[in-house]
Amino acid sequence: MKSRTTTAHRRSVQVTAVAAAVVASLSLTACGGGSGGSGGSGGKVKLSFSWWGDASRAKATQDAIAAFEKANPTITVSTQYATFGPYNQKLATQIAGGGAPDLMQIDWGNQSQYAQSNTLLDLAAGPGAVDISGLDPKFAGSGKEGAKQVAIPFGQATQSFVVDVTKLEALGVAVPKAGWTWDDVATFGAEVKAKSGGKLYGISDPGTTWAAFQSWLLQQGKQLYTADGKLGFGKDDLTAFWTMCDNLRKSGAATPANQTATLINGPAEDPLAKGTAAAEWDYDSIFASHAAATKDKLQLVPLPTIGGQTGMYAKPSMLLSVYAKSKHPKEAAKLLSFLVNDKAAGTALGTSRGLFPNTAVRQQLAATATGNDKVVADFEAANASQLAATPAAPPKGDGQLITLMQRIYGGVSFGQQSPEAGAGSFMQQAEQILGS
Amino acid sequence: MSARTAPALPGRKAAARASSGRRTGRTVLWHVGVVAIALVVVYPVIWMLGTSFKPATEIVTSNRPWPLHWTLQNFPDGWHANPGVTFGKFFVNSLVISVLAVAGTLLSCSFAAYAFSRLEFRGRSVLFAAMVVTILLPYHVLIVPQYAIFKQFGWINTDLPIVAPKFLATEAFFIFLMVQFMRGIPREIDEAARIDGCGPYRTFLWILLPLTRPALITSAIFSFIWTWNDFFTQLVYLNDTEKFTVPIGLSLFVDQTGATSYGPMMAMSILALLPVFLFFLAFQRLLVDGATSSGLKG
Repeated sequence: MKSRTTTAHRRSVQVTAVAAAVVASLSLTACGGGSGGSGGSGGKVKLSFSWWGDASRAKATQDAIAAFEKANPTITVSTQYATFGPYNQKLATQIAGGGAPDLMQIDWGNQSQYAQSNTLLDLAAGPGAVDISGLDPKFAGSGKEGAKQVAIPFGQATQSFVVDVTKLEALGVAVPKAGWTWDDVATFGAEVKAKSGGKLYGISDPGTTWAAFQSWLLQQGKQLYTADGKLGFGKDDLTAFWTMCDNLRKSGAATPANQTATLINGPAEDPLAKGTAAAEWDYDSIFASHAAATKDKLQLVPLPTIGGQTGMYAKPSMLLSVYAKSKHPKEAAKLLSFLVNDKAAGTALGTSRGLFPNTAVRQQLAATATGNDKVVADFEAANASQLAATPAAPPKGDGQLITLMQRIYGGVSFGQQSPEAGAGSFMQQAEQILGS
Repeated sequence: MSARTAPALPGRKAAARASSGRRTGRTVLWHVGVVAIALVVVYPVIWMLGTSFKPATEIVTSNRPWPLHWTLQNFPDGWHANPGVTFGKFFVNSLVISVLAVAGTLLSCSFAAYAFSRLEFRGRSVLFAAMVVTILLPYHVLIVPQYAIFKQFGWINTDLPIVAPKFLATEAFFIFLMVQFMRGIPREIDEAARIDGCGPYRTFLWILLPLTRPALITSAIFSFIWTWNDFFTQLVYLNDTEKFTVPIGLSLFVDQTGATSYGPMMAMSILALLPVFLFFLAFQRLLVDGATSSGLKG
């Protein structure tokens, strides 16, 4: 999905020039420039705000917006939303056509690209200045491109293993504990496989997951990308990771290729929901969706370690940016600040986007959290001290590497290619994608 | 067709009587084969129908197309899935857009087709070629310039960017279809009309339009189905949830980063299929009529 968005966008940029010429030659005067949905009437400022998500997030967002409008009677906010894939296609079109919303939720993978085309307003100073003193500076830094603060994280997620406690208890297998190693994963998987009579695998094979590979690199003090947006690892690293996954799969500790292939479809269709894997790598912000897809009791466990390092970090599950051409940058920044700092926003939003950005409000919310929210809040609190520094935003092309990883490891897991040969072709294609 | 095959039947019957056993065997085999293929084709629809009555936990865990525990809950759940607006509103919106699109396409494309097929004017063949070429342009190339223009008009977040182009004969495929059909109508008919005193407008209205009916019906059916199913245009131009159409509403059920509610989605998909199915059912007889009478050879 993401890669399609990226290519569509690139194509869009090329035709923008043509579009601009057409529009100029028509010299239409009606309703010129600016952002979509702007224009004040009767002293009221009308803002547009777009985001992606499902229906439960729509409800939470509307409540937060209502709280903002109540506190700021001179501003009305119209929201627009769609689900992740379509949302990004629509946003790319809006940006290329010069009609993006005043405030928009963006994916971390698109941040560099939009920042380079000067689509995002600087939020550190000027009319769009937002107070982010209440956020962890390391985490807030994820929205920086060079010296500019182009986005503010709108929810914190952390890497984890989601574990099916009900199934493990039924088999008499102990739930993995913090500090477990990749060797423990192999023993754990083998035990699950043996005790279930081969019906249940230990974990969903993490070999297709780009972010799981990133965690594995961080555990060894390596980076996925260099500071200038090139690959930060070598062919040997990827070969070692895939060989480890290959062995897990061959020994029966991880799911076979045909089941691993369903991982890309989201929590409702993956091996954990289908009851064929006892644990699965994912962000803790997805926990509620995993819980909704099964009747079993689930729990979050920190990642397996290498040398005591978990490689987990505070990742922005999504970010908020103000459109550079917005007619009301001040009001848009005000809404942004409300959504990431205000207690009322935090209460309305819950954990539908991950943990609340403002740390003081986050702690207040954690104290009263229940159900799935409590599981996530407790997990984050327990691991806060273990987190590695948040890396810089991924470069343009990151989305394509995610799908490249899925495709090539797919071939490896179906036995068409050795891990080493797969890693070789991955490196070659990845360098081309990032070089362009 | 039928007139030509009818006399051949007695002969075939005689041959069949001679080897009736072998023939029965072959017929049975033929039917089994056809039914098997039909099942494969219909299976997704059956699965969709069954899934719309399944509880959430049963959908991905069981492979059988029909539910183990029947539930009707998916229908109200899907209907009220989006806060502040029901799926009924999406149906009304989709219906308005689709009906307007059909009206616009029929009106404008038949005019354009008449001009291309009957009227003599300078640059006709060049313009016709240019129009056909627009069929080949991928939609993604057009969307950004279109978006920029419609934004200048102040048409974003209205139905106009979706409906207005249909009234301006932008659907080259339908023009092409009608032109080809009109070319098959003998010119002697127009000439007779002209002798009786018809100008170009009356020739179009009284002579060509009624004779083009099969092509118009084909265009109406496809135009309706395409607009009803169109997702991307409606997604890009409509912002408010109250203005959403059925395809956008359905897409809201599947979020990779959130909960995917297959049950309500399938329930609403079944409902979304109904208008298309009914539309097709109502016009199917006319479509078949059109296909047979298109062999009009004077």
